[in-house]
Amino acid sequence: MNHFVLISAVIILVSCATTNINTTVVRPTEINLSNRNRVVVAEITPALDSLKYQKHSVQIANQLSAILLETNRFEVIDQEHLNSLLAEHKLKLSGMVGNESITQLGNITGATVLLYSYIDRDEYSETKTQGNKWIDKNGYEH
Amino acid sequence: MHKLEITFKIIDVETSELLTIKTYSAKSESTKLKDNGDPLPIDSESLFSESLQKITKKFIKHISPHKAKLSLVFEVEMEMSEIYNAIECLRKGNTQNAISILQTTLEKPNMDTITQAKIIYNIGIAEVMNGIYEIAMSKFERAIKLNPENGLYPKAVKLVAKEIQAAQKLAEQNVHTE
Repeated sequence: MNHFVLISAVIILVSCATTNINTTVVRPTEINLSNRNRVVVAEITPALDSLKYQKHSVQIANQLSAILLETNRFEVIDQEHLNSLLAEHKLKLSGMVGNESITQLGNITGATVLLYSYIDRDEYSETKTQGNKWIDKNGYEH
Repeated sequence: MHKLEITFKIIDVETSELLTIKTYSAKSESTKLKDNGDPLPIDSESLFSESLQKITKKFIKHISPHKAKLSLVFEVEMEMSEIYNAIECLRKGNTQNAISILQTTLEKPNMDTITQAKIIYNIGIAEVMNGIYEIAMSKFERAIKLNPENGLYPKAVKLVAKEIQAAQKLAEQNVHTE
């Protein structure tokens, strides 16, 4: 009886034998920006008004510009160039909320899209946890 | 532990249309200990950088085509060494060779329908790897006709249907893959 079960199991296993093969595929984007590839990365407002958070805002903007360039699909208008263009036209990116201002930004910079980012949360915390007590070979408790 | 959450908004400059708004969050932590069990000093800035990298990686997938791994199930027939040769070819990326090996195997006389279905299904898998999804689909459909009991085949049909959709979307986005 046991032999029969074993043989049946082997037959089932053999008949169901499979192996996995991995391949790489390209996945499309969720939004199509193929015709909009000139990006302005807007300055990011810090989560709080302190040097640390200001530094984080700059780091985020720089990281975004770098990662956009890495794709080879986007042209990023760097902050320095953007600021000089805005200063030339006596404009401030942070004040651009209306449709007209955004269109004006496009005309000045030749950008096709504007990337705005907001820091919703930037928190650091430390938690101390203590494991079970143990006694070393000298009898001391830790 | 560092927690970071960023919202991204992309606006079309010509039309002022909001194209997308997405919020991503990430957390990074360090639990490294010294030999005596005390915690090592934590560099909060490196945790911030780690969280930022996680978020930007997610964000870029939203706006730029990206590579992903696809795991395909290949059926093995213990008594057929040709199948193993085909697997070897596929693992080396030589899909055309794998397809010819499988097609030659299919011409063997007196083959039962279940084995035929396996080989045809495997040709379909090789075609998926080749990116020829329409042929892959026809192979999977034929495998189902030959052996409707095998649950792998309908799954392969679903997988290839998804790949066809993805390929169409990529074409719309002017992304040309090899």
